[in-house]
Amino acid sequence: MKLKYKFNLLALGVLIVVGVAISIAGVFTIERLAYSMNRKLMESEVVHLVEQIRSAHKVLTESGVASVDSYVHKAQTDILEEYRDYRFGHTGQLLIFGQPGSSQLLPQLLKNHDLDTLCLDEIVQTGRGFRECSHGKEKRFVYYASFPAWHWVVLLSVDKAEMLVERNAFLSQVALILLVGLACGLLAFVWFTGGIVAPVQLLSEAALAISHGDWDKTLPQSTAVDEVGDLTRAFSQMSEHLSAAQRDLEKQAKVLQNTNTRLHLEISEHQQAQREIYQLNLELEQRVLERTAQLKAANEELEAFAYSVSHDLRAPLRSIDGFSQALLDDYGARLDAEGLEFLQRVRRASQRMAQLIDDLLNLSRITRGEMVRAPVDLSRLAALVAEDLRQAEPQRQVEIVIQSQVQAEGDARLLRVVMENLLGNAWKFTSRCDHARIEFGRSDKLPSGRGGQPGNRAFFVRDNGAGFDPAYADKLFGVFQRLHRAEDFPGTGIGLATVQRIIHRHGGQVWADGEVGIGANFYFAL
Amino acid sequence: MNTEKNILLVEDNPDDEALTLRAFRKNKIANPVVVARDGVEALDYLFGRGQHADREHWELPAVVLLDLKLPKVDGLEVLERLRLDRRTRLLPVVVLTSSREERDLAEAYRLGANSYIRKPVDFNCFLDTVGQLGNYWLKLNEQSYQ
Repeated sequence: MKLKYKFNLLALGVLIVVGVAISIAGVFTIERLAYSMNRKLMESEVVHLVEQIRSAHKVLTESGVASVDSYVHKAQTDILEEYRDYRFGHTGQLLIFGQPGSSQLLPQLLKNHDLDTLCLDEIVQTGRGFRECSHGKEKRFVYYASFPAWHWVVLLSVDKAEMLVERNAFLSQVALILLVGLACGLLAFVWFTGGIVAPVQLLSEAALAISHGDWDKTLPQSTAVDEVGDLTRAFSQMSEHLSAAQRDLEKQAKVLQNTNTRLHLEISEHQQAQREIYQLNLELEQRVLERTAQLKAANEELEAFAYSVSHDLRAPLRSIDGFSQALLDDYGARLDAEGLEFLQRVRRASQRMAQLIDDLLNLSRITRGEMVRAPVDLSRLAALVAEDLRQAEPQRQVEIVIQSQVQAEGDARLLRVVMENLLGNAWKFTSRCDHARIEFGRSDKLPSGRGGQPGNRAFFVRDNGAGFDPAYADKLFGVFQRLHRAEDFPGTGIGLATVQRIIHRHGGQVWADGEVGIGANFYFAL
Repeated sequence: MNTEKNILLVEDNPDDEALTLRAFRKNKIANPVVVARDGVEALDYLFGRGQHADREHWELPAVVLLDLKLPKVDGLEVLERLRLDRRTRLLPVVVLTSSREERDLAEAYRLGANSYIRKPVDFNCFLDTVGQLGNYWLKLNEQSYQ
């Protein structure tokens, strides 16, 4: 049940109960008051009349004529005359009558003398009192007193209805008050429900709507200056703030949602890309595996080939050389000088071929072997190689200048091969110089392309030997490429190819410049 | 001095065989040279079985010159079998081959070769090599006969 109706019923109930209680209490009180007042009034009237009669009788008695009928009659007539027009209220009746059996009965004063005879009998017998008697259809209250000396009974009666007039008036007033109170209560209720309950109800509805997310519901307005008005205004303000905050939130949520969608899209794109990368990686790995297997197979084949070259190709050469020598030894006497020379040529050729085979094997070994990068002291390496060269040809006078503390990072074994080849070449091509000079060190030159960082200055080997025609500089590093005739400077044309292969394996560069008769400069950077 | 004892030459190439024998002769090494032309023949000779089963005065050679690349059973396997047998465990074996492959070298020494010599192409160098070889293994070197 709504609060509004609860208040309604409560107010009505209280009003009715209070009204009825007040009415009942009022009716009884008024009735009792009316009775006692009337009784007192009637008593005083009756007593006053009896006192008058007594004083008249006293006067007669003192005069000594109390037993003289004419005087008594005269006195009685005076009193009766005095009270002829006596009125009491609207319905009050004064009766003076003689007791039955008395000679001095004054029946003319008895008006409407139709009281119950039974009631009259009782009155005459008791002498004085107050009682209720029926008078025809109406009830009457009677106060009476007797005056025995004259055998008179004085009786004053009043219609009971007249006594109840006061009560009824009170009742109607109370009813009026009740009605007015009821109306006031209703008005108060209407005001209360309108001023407090209704706004509160509106507030509760609005709060319910808000809690359900209905921000469009019209907010309750109030101009009242009471607490409910304050509450309503505060609530409205709060709702507006909430609504604004909610709109803000919705806006932000929309932005977030957009961002989220975009992120989602990006993530899925990213994932797609990752999957593709993964796929590509798988393929790449597969290809690497395949390529590795191919390379491994090729390498194994190459190794088998190299093995068989080192073993099988040399055997026939040994035979050629050995039997040529046997021929020279055993049958040399039967050959002329030219024949001997031919055999020597056969031997030289076979030995040269053996050298070529060895060089080729070395070249392939360099390509195949594992590479270990570590810091390498090139100055020390150069010194060691120079020492070997000097020991091999101690008769030669060559000035070898080695810059100290030249450090590099690479495979020590391979870099030694590089130094052996470059310094060996320099040694070889300065063999015809009077003042041979070989230098090793670090230059200011930088390699071209990606390797050309300031920290990567090239190393150099310089000599003042035979040099070369710069036009052929790019042919220097090819396998079996030679710029000099074998009779001038021996060699197989594999040394620089080996150097280049080693430098390339290190990811470096090697190049050269020079001039015929002046010398050559070889540069390499790792 | 092992001047009377045999030399076992394990060599499948007839040219090399002829040149090696010539080198011995040139170096005046007079020991009898037994030639085995494959791994099986070498093992048969050394363990006295097969065609050598009825050999009288069975005796181990002073030194075995062993080529690596051989038909049937190759040089390294011959070496391995010799070293597994109590009788030939200490027999001097010189690997004489064309190969200079590192893995052959390493494997030969791992299996117990006493020496590893690469045959040079230059016959004069070869002569020198064989001379030194004979001098060392037949004259200088003291052998255990346990």
